[in-house]
Amino acid sequence: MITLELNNFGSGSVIFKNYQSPGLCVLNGKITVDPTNAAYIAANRLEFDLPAGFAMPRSAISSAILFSNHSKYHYGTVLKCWIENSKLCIEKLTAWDALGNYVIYINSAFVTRGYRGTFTQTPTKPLTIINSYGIFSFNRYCYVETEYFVFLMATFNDFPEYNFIGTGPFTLELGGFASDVNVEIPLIVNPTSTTSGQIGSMLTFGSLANRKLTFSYPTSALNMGGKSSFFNFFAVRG
Amino acid sequence: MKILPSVAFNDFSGSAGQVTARKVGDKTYLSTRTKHSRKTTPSQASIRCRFGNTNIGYSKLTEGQRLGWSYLASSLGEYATSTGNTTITGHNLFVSINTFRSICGKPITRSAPAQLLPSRYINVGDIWLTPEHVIFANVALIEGTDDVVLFEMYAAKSPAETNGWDKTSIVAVVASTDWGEVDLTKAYLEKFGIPIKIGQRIYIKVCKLNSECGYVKWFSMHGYFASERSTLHQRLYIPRAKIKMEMINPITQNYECDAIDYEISPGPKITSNNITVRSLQDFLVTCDFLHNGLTDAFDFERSYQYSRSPAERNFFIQCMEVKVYNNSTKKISLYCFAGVYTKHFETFGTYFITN
Repeated sequence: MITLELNNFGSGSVIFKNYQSPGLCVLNGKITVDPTNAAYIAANRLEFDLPAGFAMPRSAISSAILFSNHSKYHYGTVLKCWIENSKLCIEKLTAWDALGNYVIYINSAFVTRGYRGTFTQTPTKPLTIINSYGIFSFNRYCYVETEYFVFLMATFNDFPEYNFIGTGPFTLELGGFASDVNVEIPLIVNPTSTTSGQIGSMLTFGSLANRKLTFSYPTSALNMGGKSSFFNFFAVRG
Repeated sequence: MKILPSVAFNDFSGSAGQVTARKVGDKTYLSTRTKHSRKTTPSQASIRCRFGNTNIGYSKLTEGQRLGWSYLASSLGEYATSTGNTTITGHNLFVSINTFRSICGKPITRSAPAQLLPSRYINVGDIWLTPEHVIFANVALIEGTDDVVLFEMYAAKSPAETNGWDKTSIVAVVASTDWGEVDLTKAYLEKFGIPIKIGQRIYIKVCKLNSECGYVKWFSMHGYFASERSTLHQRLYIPRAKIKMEMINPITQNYECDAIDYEISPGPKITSNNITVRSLQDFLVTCDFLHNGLTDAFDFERSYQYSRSPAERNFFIQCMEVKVYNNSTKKISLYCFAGVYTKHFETFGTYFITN
């Protein structure tokens, strides 16, 4: 674990699970942002100082998820995120500031560039859904497991939809998934259509531990979920 | 690698760029070349013009300003050269510093600076010197500061020419690197008009220069024979696995690529990229752009990525499949298969590549 304390937007300290190597790092953590804080308002982008000795002073572009304070749908989007001069930098978007404190999820990998050499193929592993109960089935997925971290992207043909089965909670149990991953991830649960005036996509969050992803929907969250749902994350093991 | 005082402050028969130094008594004088080079590449013309303008600028200084430069020059004292000690005049110092400031894009400074920050030795890793590539790797430049890297080069005209250190010319001044790399292939060709030949003796001077100060004093010297293999690790040149805008056909009948910056890093195979596309269609389509960015070492590379629509299209999140075909057809293909489809989107981030 690393603790990031110094920042330019008035946030408290944040703890990140992490994997570090000079060419590839993975960070898992959740940042709470107060958009009324004077430092936040003045900042052009959000920065956290990385601890001394962090393996990577600079990275290529990565991503994070903004999870707004909307009372029901937590509308949000993808943010640009990167490491520069030993700082974790995150793009600042203010579209949801009026809703109050929001969360930024970072479940991402960071790499360096400039490699000139040969490559090997990325090995993937198969997964199964143990408890589909007719409410879960993959459309596509991509699962990579290394000794230190995992990567999973999944889209679905069947995924719980509020309109038909309510708030949950729901549990997706994954056979073949690493048992030592413990992470909270955002889930994009927006249908292909949107409502008038909607800014950002509907989001909820899930807790993944011991191969089980558990999540729920708020009350009255019409249209949330369904087969257009997906997620995409890196997670440190252990 | 050696560190020597700048040629500009040596005694007789030295030159850096278009500045020639000659010694009279115990003083060194700077002047433009007495002979015009027959080559009139834009780079040479530009440097010649800068030096001329700087020389004219000295004549417009006030007496007080000239005294400031003289005082600063005298504070440098004497320093050793191959033929004895020498000093520099205020005029020479003004011209030298402002010539390099001008090359770095800075205006002429009329008043002598309170302090001189001399150029320094800089670490450079591997270098490729081939007819097709003049590339420096692992150039240790901290970006976002006043530091720039000054590259001077000279290629010997014949095997009998064994000392070209006084003949190097400025090839480039760079303020940033591409992940530690500096590609001088085009700049070299523009400077000298002909590419390097394998086996040719290449003289290189490189230093880290404070662009605000412009005081070139110390630099490292590298002498190599041009070879198919790199100078340090003896590696054959392998291009980076990347696709940039200049490597694609960005406009098709149905869509346009506004920006692409795609590269593959080991891990074993991870892409970091940022791709912006506009579709002219209202319905879901696969966006294909022809490319010539990857070598034959690659075949089919796929990643699943986050994507979002721009602010004017409400920041919706998409799941984007990015496929790079590199076999009989070389194209990069993007398809939105989850999330809210929008005609304009930007996909970015770092993701595993799988087949």
